[in-house]
Formats: sequence, C-alpha cells, structure tokens
Amino acid sequence: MRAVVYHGTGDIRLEDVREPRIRESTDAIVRITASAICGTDLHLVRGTVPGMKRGTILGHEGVGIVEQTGRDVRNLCEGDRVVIPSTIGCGVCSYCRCGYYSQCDNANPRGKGTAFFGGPEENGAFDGLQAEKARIPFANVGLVKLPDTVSDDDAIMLSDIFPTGYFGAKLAQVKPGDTAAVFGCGPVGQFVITSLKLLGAGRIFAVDTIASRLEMARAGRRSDRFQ
Amino acid sequence: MIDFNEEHPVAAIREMTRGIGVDRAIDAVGVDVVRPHSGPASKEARQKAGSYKSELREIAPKSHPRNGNWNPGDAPSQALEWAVEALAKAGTLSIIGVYPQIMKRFPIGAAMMKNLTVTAGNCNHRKYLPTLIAMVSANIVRPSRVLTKVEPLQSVLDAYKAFDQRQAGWVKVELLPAA
Repeated sequence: MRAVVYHGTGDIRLEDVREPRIRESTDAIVRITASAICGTDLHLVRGTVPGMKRGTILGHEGVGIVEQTGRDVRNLCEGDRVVIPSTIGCGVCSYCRCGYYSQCDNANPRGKGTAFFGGPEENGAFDGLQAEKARIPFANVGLVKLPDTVSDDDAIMLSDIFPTGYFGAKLAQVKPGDTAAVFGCGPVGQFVITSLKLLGAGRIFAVDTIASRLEMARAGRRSDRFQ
Repeated sequence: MIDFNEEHPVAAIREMTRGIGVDRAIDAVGVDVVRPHSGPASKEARQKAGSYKSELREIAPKSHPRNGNWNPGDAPSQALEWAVEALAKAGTLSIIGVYPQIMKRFPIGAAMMKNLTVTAGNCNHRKYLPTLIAMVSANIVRPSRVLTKVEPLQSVLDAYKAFDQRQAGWVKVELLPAA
C-alpha cells in the first residue's frame, strides 16, 4: 500500500510499504477514506518537534472503514464507518477513566507520554494515517462510529483539529461573556474560535498575519449555523 | 481581527478592552512562531531576535530548510509572551499549540505577577468526540468550512510543501488515499 514515510528532517517520501496486520486482540485495521496534513506534521518535518524515527508513517488524522477486528473488539464490525482520534488511550487506566485519554498509562509502549499516530519515538512511534490502511491500537476504545449525516469532509476535522480547538477553549475556562484572544488562526485556531462561541464567549480577538486566515476567522462568524 | 505585521497585538487588545486585557487567551500557534517583520511590533521582536535564535538552537539544532521549505519559525516563545501580556489580571492562558518536550522558555514572572492561571496539554480527543459528532450531525457546526484543499494522496509531497509555506488558500488539506 502507499503511505507517507518519514526519512529525516525535511525528507518525507510517498512509498509502497507493507500492509498493517492485527497484532493485539484490541486492534482493528481501518481502510482510510480520508486523511489530512496537520501543523503538527510540519513541526515534525521541520525538526522543531524532534525525535521522529526513520520509517514511521506520518499522519494522525483519519476517517475510514473498519476492515478487520481483533477478537476483543466487540463493539465494531467490518464495514463500520469510523473517525480515528489522533491520540490513543486504553480506556481502563485511571487517566482514561477521568477523560485524560492523552495521558493514558498503557497505550504508549515507550513510556507514559501521550501516544499518538505518526509521532516521535517518545510518543510511541505508531505508524500514522497518511496511508491506505492503518492498524488502530485499542480500537474498541478509540474508534467512534459516524452517522451517515456526517460527510468525510466534516468528519476528517473531527479526528484532531475540531476536538483540539474545543479542548483549548475548555482549558481556557471560558464562561459566557468572557473576552478572549486567539493567537494563531490556522486550522486549530479556527476551531478555537468556533468553540469559544459555542461556549458563549463575548468578544473574540483573532491574531495572525495571513489575510486569508484572518478572513476565514471573520467568515466563520457567518457560516456556522449557531451564530 | 488583528494583523501582527500591522498592529502590535498586545497594544491593539489593550486598546479595544479599555486597557483591561482579555479574560482568556489561547495559544494555537506552538513552537513555529514567525515574528513580525513590519509594523509597530517588529522593533521589539528585532531586539529579541538574538534571544529567539538561541531558543531555536536549543530546541531544533537539526533543522534542514531547503528550497524555501521546512523553515522553523524564528521566535519560539513569541506567542506565549504576547498571550501573557494581553491577558487581564487573573485571566487564563490555554496552551494547545505544540511545543517540544525540551522547550524551557516561558514568561513565568509576568504570569505570576498577574495571578494568571496557566493550562496546557494534548487534546483528549476521545472525550469530546461524541459531543462534537452530535453537533455536526445536527448541523450546528459545519467543520468543513475550514477545509480549503482536497488532494489525492499521490500529490501529498506538493501539498506538504504548499501548506508548509502557509500559501494563500492552504489552510486545511484533506488527503484521499483512494483517489
């Protein structure tokens, strides 16, 4: 199958690689129907977030169809359409049970740091989702089925950047009426703005320098229905 | 909307909040901050250029820019500094832009003196997915408004390069493995 493979700082390649196989009973294999490129991938390729292992498939955003499941994945069937969360959690450790899936004690074989697809060694060096297929560890916990009413174009935003924007607004402890400043109007910044409005923020100040991104932040005020 | 190459973002926010600053600030940039190169904020950033350079040496000693691609940002802690300065007293800073494990610079003194709450972390995606899927399904939010390019996986390397250069129109790139 084809996949985007990391070879070094500034060196990524589209290559033919071996198809993933089920390794653990909680794994699933998902045929990817949509993936995406994230700013985090750029940090990794630029070298400003170091520690990538040569040969790792990049990408942590994916939507797809379940093709195969391990015997402990009882909640999903072949053919289910799912969104893949970027971070991996076991679902049973104390952190996952409190909702801190990104601080899972068990998902990262290299330690206790956040486990995510297509990331550095200290984050587990899991093969990523910019590929035709992917092995999803703890698929019984992570994968969420999508209703037909959510298109792939909308769903791919749910894999990482919309939840991250929402999480950012939650971390900021925003209450109705609060004023808020968003530094950076890239994809995640756009979803921070959407989420701030969902949570009732008053005035929002968007800071960037790229005209099209500032314009998108302004247009967002009109295109999301809840406003 | 504040363009940091035209206005000083902290001054603009202070002015528009009657000097108070904002209750909440979110850093959605992370380590690859590009500093202002024109306008009123550029002078201050130029004075700090040396210090930003040494920060960059600490965190990314092995960057390999080539042909205008893969350039690291030139002011790793700039977004954090602005956010802390723009906040009102007792405000909250939320950091979701990605910083590497080894990044150590943060304006702790200024944050302390203003009684700020500082929060940070990697998203717990799975926690929010059911809520957000329901909102999208109910047409409350249309996330694909942020999607600006759909490319076959075959064109992925060109897509990476255009996105890396923050070219106009390259905000979010979807890749289709089957196309």
